[in-house]
Amino acid sequence: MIRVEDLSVAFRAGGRVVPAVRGVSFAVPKGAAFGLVGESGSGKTTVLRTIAGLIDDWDGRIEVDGVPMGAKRDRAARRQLQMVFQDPYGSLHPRHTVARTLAAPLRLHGVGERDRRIDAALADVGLDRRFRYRYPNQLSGGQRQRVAIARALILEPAIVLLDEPTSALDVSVQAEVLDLLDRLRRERALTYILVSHDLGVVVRLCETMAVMRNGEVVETATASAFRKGAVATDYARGLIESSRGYRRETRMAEVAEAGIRTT
Amino acid sequence: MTAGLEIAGLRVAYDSIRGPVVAVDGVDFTVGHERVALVGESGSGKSTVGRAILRLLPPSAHIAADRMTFDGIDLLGCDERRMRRVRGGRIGMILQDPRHALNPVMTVGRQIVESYRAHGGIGGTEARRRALDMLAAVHIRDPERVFAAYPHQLSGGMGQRAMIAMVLAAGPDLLIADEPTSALDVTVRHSVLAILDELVIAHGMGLLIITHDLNLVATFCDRALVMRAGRIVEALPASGLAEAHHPYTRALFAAAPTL
Ligand SMILES: Nc1ncnc2c1ncn2[C@@H]1O[C@H](COP(=O)(O)OP(=O)(O)OP(=O)(O)O)[C@@H](O)[C@H]1O
Ligand SMILES: Nc1ncnc2c1ncn2[C@@H]1O[C@H](COP(=O)(O)OP(=O)(O)OP(=O)(O)O)[C@@H](O)[C@H]1O
Ligand SMILES: [Mg+2]
Ligand SMILES: [Mg+2]
Repeated sequence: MIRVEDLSVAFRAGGRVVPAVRGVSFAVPKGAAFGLVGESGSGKTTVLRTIAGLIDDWDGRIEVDGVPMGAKRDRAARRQLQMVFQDPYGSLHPRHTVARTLAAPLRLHGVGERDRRIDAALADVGLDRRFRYRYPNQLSGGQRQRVAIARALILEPAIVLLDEPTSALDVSVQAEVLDLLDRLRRERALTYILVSHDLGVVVRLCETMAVMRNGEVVETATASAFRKGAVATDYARGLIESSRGYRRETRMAEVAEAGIRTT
Repeated sequence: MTAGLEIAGLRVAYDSIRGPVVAVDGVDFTVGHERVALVGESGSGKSTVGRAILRLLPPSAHIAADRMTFDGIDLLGCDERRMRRVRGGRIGMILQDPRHALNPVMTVGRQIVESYRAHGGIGGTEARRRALDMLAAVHIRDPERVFAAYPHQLSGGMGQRAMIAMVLAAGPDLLIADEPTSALDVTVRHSVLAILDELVIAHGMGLLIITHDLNLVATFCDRALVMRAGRIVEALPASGLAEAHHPYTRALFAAAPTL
């Protein structure tokens, strides 16, 4: 169970205060998958990073399995919560091979049978043994993203925070990854929070989702309500509408109005 | 002299300790004043093609082609000085990992301003004004703040938009965009696509867009090239993607989750 109550996060940058998250609340029962969607820059990554304990300065209340955040979490508790970062390039060590990247968490937590686990974790995301010896800059974008997913899952955590985990994957590999996440959830009652701009992916994996805009949750709805278009805000309706595809005529009128100049 | 990008017999192999990895295995295509999508499974060689055009590959890569020209310029044979003028100025490239591609120790604003000044021949004040306009055009909520920010202070999608602003500031004649909108919400995504659209329609820019987003291909692009294991296996009108013949192309898109 993850409970977030009235969470606010502000960054200080260049003498200014940037209110990134403003009074966000939601609860995710054990074994559930919760989606966070919405505007680029609205604070989704910041919410995940705060839950993962990567941001020190925040207000509100966060509870993971009854333990309030801020209290010291021991190694076993930390192992239970893993995150797949939005930016796989930035989150993988550039001088570590794939095998070393995957071995590191196993070693840290004293887990045995490392070779077997590494091969299995790679196979789960559609990568064969050859990739063990590659460095991040020797992988394609989607291959890097799959290594990041494998790293988060290799410790068999109870909670996984997924920040745009399939944004660089073609739809067939994406389907494999979503199937894998579904299967793990059924087998081990994993809890997920999934951030994605792809509403199709979110309704595929999650039962409930929150829509964020400008630091706030503007609406929380079930995936089936989203499927039916039965949402309360114009903003969520706009997202559903835009998911159907690009509309040349409407958009060109917008550009003409804004008078965009390049050189 | 022919206009646009012309590629024939492009091959790229990477050296690796386990022998050469053939990433691109004989690819032919052209891009005129149109929107061309390059699609295909993860690892099929799309980014390698994009980077090979501008010779932006690591030293471990070996490029060969029967022909690779842009508006008559030999992209493979020309010297590095000529290539530097092509890069950015004539041909712009949005890389797949934008925050990685931006300079981490320079503010976003300065990077866009320098792009305007280098390629637009305009003064500092005017360049700054245009940079702020461009950030607003890509729907950045607070352009002044983002102008003064460093890349690590931006969200994923804000970094992507900063990169787009910087590349467009140079006014390229051809834009190679590798997953340019993958980190944007659908509403902002369409506004950014509209800017690219306008550049194609009104300014005759050519656009080669690498993407996994089938919807984007079908509703935004003119043509689609489908890659598999380093080769183009099918080329078809983008609107006909749903009726593609090649079993690989059909399989590639069959699994898309929809709302
Ligand atoms: N280290 C930082 N310093 C200053 N501001 C920051 C920092 N990290 C994030 N921000 C700001 O916080 C806001 C929220 O960013 P966040 O990354 O959480 O957005 P997001 O919803 O994940 O967006 P996207 O969908 O584009 O990834 C943005 O305005 C961003 O510029
Ligand atoms: N520096 C390198 N050394 C060895 N192999 C490499 C290197 N860079 C890329 N590759 C391999 O070349 C192939 C093509 O990579 P590329 O990045 O072009 O794929 P892509 O089609 O863009 O995939 P994605 O959709 O996942 O981004 C992949 O199998 C990749 O692992
Ligand atoms: Mg984010
Ligand atoms: Mg790629």
